[in-house]
Amino acid sequence: MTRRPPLAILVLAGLALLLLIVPVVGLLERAPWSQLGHELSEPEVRKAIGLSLVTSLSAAALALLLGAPLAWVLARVDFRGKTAVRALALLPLVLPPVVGGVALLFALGRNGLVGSWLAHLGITLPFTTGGAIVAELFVALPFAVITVEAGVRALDGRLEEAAATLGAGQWLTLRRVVLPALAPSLAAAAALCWARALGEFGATITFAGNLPGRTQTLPLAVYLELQQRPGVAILLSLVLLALSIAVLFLLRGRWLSPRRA
Amino acid sequence: MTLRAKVVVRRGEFLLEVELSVDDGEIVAILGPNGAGKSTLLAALAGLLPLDDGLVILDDELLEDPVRGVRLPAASRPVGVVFQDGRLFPHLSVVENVAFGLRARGVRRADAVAQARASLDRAGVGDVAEKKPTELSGGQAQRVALARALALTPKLLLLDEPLAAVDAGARAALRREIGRELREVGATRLLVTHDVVDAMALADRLVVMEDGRIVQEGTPADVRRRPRSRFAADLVGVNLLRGRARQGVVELDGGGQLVAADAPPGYVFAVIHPHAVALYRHRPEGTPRNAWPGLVASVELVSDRARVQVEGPVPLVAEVTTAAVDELRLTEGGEVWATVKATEVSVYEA
Repeated sequence: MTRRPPLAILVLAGLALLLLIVPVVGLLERAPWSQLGHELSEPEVRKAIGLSLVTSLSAAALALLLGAPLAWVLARVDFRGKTAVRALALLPLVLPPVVGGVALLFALGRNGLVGSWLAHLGITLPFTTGGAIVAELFVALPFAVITVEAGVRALDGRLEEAAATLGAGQWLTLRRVVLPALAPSLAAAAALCWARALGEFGATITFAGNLPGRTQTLPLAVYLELQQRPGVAILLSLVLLALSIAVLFLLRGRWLSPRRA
Repeated sequence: MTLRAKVVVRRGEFLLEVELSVDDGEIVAILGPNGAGKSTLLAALAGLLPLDDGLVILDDELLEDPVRGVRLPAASRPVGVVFQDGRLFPHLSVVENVAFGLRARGVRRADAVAQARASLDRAGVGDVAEKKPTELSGGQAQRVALARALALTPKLLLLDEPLAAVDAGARAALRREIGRELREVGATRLLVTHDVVDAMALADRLVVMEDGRIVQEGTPADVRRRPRSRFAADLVGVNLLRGRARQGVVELDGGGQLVAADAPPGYVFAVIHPHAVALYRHRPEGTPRNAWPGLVASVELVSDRARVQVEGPVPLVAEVTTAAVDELRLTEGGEVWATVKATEVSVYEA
């Protein structure tokens, strides 16, 4: 049964909706639709798009590779200090990204805690594409942990028991029973991590800098171009908007219908 | 192939302590109410739950002995399990489900699929091989689960409530089908159920469990004739009383006396069939030696008969005609006398 809610609630809900709609409309309204093709073919624009795709997809893949096992441990293993570990895993979610960038710089920078040791191995992260990936990985990781942990908790452990009675060892069970059952969670985690990595600004610019073709990802390019060529900034914003909508589309079954949450 | 097991498992307050053996060619059903520990026992035998004490020996092979630190993991035991809800892998087709165990043993894919198909055919479900488990009926899913367990030719086959998830209409047919297959399997077979019809139809021997312990073992006929627990008596639908007999009179545990001509001295169980309980409005004169007053607790109609539950010093269930219910004006809370002839009471040592 649906009842008409009080007027005050309707008004505030309407304002919230406006706040979400107006910026998008504003962006679309100012878009240089006629020059779209021309601007898109500009080398800097294409470089930024390509770099963003490479770094965000790498970061999302790494976030899954590292985040899913951590999620598994948090969901399945009991140990002391688990709350602290989970808090740590979620920290990048609430930490201002620029602080994350500074922290990464001092940890992985040339004279940093781990960075000096990495430098011995000939690995340099700050102000490199690798650094941009690490920055994006740092902010995206919590999404992988949260999403996959929920998936692991929802797993039907009885299927793993059935697999064991059929002679399947741990790896076979993981590969043929657990991973297929986790696939929806892994896909959702991948989409979320990718969206987060794609939009990362603060940590990237602090840790990796703003070098065109190397660390200047889409959000950085948008910020820079806004001063010089607003048209290009709007265009790049549109690209990010389209990608964000694509992520929402991928997550539609999970997020857009609350009953199935 | 024979199973010898002593299973001791503690889970919080609950203690499972059971000694069990299943001989070659025998089908044993474990019968008991919910929470009796039946499924826990199966999980322990399958290796899914470690023993706290005891041992499991299958055909002279020691599967588990916590004292000696022996514990064969579930995946290495020659034990097949058919779970209550089938537990088919939802993302695999039926034939892939059945081939799963063979593949785990390193059988080549084509061979595994061929063997899986043969196993499905034997179970009479070869036609659903390409379907997904979600497309199966409850009965089909159980038959696939059985085929999946049997594809590995286990030495010990454990079935956990194989008919519980199947609707009433399909149950009789599935019971016959599973019964036929169980007879053909060359494995030691142990089945868990809370349904006496399933147990009696499928098993050669019943083991009645209550609260983590075995309260009775015997053939279905034994358990029917001489139940040794409230649960078993309720299952076969008879009244069970316990007391101490002396010279043909049983002093009942709950108070009151029961006259039973052939009662052996000492602690005894007395079984009274509901048919043998007669009801009267007033205390009857003459022959019956056993007459107790009581109150009607419930009247339940079963076709043309009525099961009347009488509460009193000696609680009994009587089965009378519906005509008698009308004639005696039996209503809940009404006063009634229940009588039983001494010759209608079956008494045996407790």
